Amino acid sequence: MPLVGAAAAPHSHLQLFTRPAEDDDYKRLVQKGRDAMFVLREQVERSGADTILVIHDDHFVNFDFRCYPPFAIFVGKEASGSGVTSPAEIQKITGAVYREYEGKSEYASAPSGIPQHMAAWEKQKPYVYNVDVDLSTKLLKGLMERGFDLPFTTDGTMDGEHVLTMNFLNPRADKNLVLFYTNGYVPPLPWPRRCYALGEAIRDIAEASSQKIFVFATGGMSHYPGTPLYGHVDEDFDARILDMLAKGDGADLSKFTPDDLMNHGNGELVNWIIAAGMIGNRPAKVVDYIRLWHIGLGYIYWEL
Amino acid sequence: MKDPAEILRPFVSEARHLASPLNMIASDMIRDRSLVQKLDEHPDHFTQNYGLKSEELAALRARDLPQLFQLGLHPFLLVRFAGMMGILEYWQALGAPGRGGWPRNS
Repeated sequence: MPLVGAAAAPHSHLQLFTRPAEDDDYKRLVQKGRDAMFVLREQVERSGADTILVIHDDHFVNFDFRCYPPFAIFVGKEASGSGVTSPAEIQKITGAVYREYEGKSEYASAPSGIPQHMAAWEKQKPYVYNVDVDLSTKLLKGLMERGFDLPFTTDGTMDGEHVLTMNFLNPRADKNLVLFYTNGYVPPLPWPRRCYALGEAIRDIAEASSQKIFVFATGGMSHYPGTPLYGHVDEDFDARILDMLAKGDGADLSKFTPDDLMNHGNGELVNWIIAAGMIGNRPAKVVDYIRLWHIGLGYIYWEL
Repeated sequence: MKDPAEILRPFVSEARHLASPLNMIASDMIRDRSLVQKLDEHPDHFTQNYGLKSEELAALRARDLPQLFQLGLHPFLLVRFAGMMGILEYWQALGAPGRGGWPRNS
């Protein structure tokens, strides 16, 4: 049975950032989030996974207003990215190793002033991952056969928050990746019922694979970046979602509309819903939920 | 607090970003910083090359973030545009709750 584990957790850069003036209480909350990620790392290691199937909403690095698909899969051999802060700092916090290049001391992904996790100027990236090309190709072909018209991308640039999740869960970069992209913040989002069905289809295809696969959905939970609601967190809605997943009612997530998710600050839940479709009605274990100033951070896993 | 769905209406239910040229401008500005200077010095560049309406151009030139949100500048790009204009705490201009009572960074 190739699905050997699953988890969902935030990709928020706040898990690696505490600025000097933030007080001890705040730093304690941030550490709780990091500790939750380390619990998920343990789940990845225990599962014996060869491949991590990462479901992530692109932050205008691979896709933008020229073309923004509801779902896409990366089909290249290698994926890479820069971190949300310096590799040395990330290594101190997570233990994540990184590739060093002769003559290169600065690993910012773009010139100063450009959002680092949004840009792809530099080609010599510190975080480099092998891709399970066999599985990504099988998924592309298999999903199209099942009626999901799936775009593919060959760029392979991971945004800084995408990299953050692997800094925590795949620190030695020794697990292969499959990168599955979604639209989590550019309405109209894909419908939750379609996301759940996609998860079911991915599971069917993955079960024919010989690799041991750990599914990881990034993102969430409630937050409203760039809007007049930034700083508001819909903690009640987050609690409701975590309760549903803890009871094994992941299929009920498919009843939401895209506007429901967005209005509760949870567009990125599309990633979690795909994972829920892969897992079915197994109860999830909720590791923690932490409210930081602009976001609710929820951490869960499923044992398979 | 007002109903979040009502506050987010321009973005979520009306998806004004789909038809707004503001997003291509902001995307291009990220890659070509000379466009930031052109906004002040050669505004015709934007009406000629992006089909911008006068109220859209006025909102960009005034760095009017609430109006830009209403006109359909996508939130991710609104944050980037604000940063390029030197506005670091964009949420204040939007009337957002922001950091509230949370500790501030220096």
